[in-house]
Amino acid sequence: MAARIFTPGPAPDPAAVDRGQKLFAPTCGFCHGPDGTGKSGPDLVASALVIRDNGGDLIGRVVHDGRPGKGMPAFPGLTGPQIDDISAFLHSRIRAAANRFAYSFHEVVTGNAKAGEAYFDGAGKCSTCHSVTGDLAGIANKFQPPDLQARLVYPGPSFPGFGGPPPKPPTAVVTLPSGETVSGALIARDPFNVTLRDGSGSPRSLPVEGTKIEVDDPLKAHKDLIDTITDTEMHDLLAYLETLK
Amino acid sequence: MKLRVSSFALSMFGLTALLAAQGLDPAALLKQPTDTWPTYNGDYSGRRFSPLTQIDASNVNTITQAWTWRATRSPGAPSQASFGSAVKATPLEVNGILYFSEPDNVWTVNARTGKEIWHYQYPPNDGLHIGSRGVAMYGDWLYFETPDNYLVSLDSKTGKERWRQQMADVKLDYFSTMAPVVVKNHIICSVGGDTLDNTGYLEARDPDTGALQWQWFTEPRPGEPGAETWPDAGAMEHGGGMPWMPGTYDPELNLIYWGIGNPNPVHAGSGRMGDNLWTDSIVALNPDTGKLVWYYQNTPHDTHDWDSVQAPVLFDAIFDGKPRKLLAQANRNGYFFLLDRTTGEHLLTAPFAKTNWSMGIDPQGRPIMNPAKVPSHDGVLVCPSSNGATNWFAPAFDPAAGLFYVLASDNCSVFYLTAEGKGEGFAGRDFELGSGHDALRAIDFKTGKVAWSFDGGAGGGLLATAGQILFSGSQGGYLAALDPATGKVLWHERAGRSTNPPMTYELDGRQYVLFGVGDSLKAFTLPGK
Repeated sequence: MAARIFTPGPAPDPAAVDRGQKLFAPTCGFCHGPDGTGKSGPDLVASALVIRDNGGDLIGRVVHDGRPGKGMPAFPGLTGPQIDDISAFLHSRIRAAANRFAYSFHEVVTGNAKAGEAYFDGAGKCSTCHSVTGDLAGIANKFQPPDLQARLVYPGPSFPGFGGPPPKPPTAVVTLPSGETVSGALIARDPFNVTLRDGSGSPRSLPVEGTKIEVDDPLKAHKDLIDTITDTEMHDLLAYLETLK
Repeated sequence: MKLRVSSFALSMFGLTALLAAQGLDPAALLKQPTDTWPTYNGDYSGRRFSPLTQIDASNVNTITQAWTWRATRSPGAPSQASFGSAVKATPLEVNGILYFSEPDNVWTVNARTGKEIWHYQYPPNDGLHIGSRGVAMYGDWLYFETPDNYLVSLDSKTGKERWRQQMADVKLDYFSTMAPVVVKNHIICSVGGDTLDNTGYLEARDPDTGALQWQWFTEPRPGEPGAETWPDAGAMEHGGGMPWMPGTYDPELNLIYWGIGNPNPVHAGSGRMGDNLWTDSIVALNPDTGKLVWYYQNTPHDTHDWDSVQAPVLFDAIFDGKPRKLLAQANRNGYFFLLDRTTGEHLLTAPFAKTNWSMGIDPQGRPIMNPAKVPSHDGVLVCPSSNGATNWFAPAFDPAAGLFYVLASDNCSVFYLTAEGKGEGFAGRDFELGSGHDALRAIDFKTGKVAWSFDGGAGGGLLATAGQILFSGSQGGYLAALDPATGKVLWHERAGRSTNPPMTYELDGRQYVLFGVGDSLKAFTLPGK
């Protein structure tokens, strides 16, 4: 399904989250896991009661009285402000789970750089168009690893938050029914029209019908790569490009 | 819709003259509608095939715009946040009036002129305003779902609210978008939202009061059949499976067919080992009881967000020399499935778009997930992308051509697992490469082979007619009509980007074809008619 763009409710106070986490891990973590995602006890980040809780109004009772039937002991000694802090910590975890565009990556670069270098110069044919001392010099400084990995397969659109310029457009030569040819950067193409930016810099839209269109796509090698590159080769190539700092 | 309250209907539903002549008799839905469009899919079959023939292959290139309606909201009305205004709904047409929705909004428009009759505005709320697929009608009443998960009933004549009933708690990040479906005296509605790890369900509610008749959860409870496909009660209870698109109905078999959404956590499967029934499945339920009769799972143990909510399209045809009651679906996972809808027996599986995730087809016809293509911390290149080989865009089926039409995409993503451990919510991310292209594809249902492909076909869905036309949108902001047998373009006009599935109706001897284009509706007819 689609992306959630926002998370409900105000963000909890970071100081309270920090105090709550320090309290939660030793007090509740044995059963619910140090991060609240469950061990022998339930996952509190996915708990409807915790999600509906507002400043400890629902979890306070459970913490204070326990759930004897379900094996949850009572914690009558925890004060109101301490329960507020635990609530703040758990709500920060729920917000983090709900906001998927802020998820952080782990261990993206796992490949073998040497194997990646061999692929770059060999089977991948990357060196046909690219040079590690030329256009790709310092490439690892320009992109974060997940963005670079997607782009090494296909340099498509920029990903939000990851930067990077759009890819160069293909060029096309359009031969009109009259025999006249028009060439330039291919700006847009749909089933009925082709739009070129010609030498004068202005866009020119031409009907497709009856014309011959020859496209020179600098990304054709990348399009082909999608069907041939293995995940291991992709990881190795990323590891190699990550050495280009 | 001409009202005919048959004695059959009277005995079946205990209907009385309460169903006034302006309204929609639910018994009339049991027959193929001809000149009207009284349900989300036009009829119960989901074929989106109209018997109208006034606009046909010989004259479609002369159709012109009869009218345009554009959404206006009162000043200070809540915006649709970052989603903007777009008609994604399929309007209903009943007795010369169009009924349709956007999130928080319902409109009625004169189907002959495009003049607005009334506009209902639901109060501001915290639900996700991503889309509203439309309204349902029963008698003089309308039903629609709100972003914050209420089923609201309106008086179709005035737009006055009759009641609202809560289906789910918006605080848990549920949101609701489906066009409800009327089956006899049941208003079938559903919830959506896979941001947090909730359980999905379908509901039937009373048309008069909105009271709950039954609820069917998309995961079993501990000890029930299907529970063996989950590791524990917690995983099931938080297993997702949102049935967020309208289903179809076979009155003879008295079965409703629904596509069920993806499991949660979306990209992390380690905390939910097993097939995870009934996520990513097509299910057949009894509409009177909400009991499961059969199921077919398209994607066991999905970790790519490939929900199975695409329309389960119903038609009868000869398959392998035998007359069959069939169900066809072009699935988000890139495969076309053909089932016997009486029993759920699998008949055919074939790819219709670029796929690289399967190691073959198992004896039940299910693609076998390549374990190397499961999202990982270092990323895997998988086709289709998380947006899928298709999505909510309505497919169509033309019985004369024997072809199933789908808006397809050949895109791929690098899928990452971001969670450590079992994860919550999406638990991963994906980077769509943007390398592929969109196409309208025609699938021969007997073989699963792509008979033709119209590159650049795009938009909110498809409409086939007995006039031997297939309507679609296309890239570049066109509306188009194609020959359903060959894919040859018969008409195109740069009238804007198609945002909903087109529909058609006939009034006073004049056939209209209606497209949603952003915040507008555009009606086309033959000139001089």
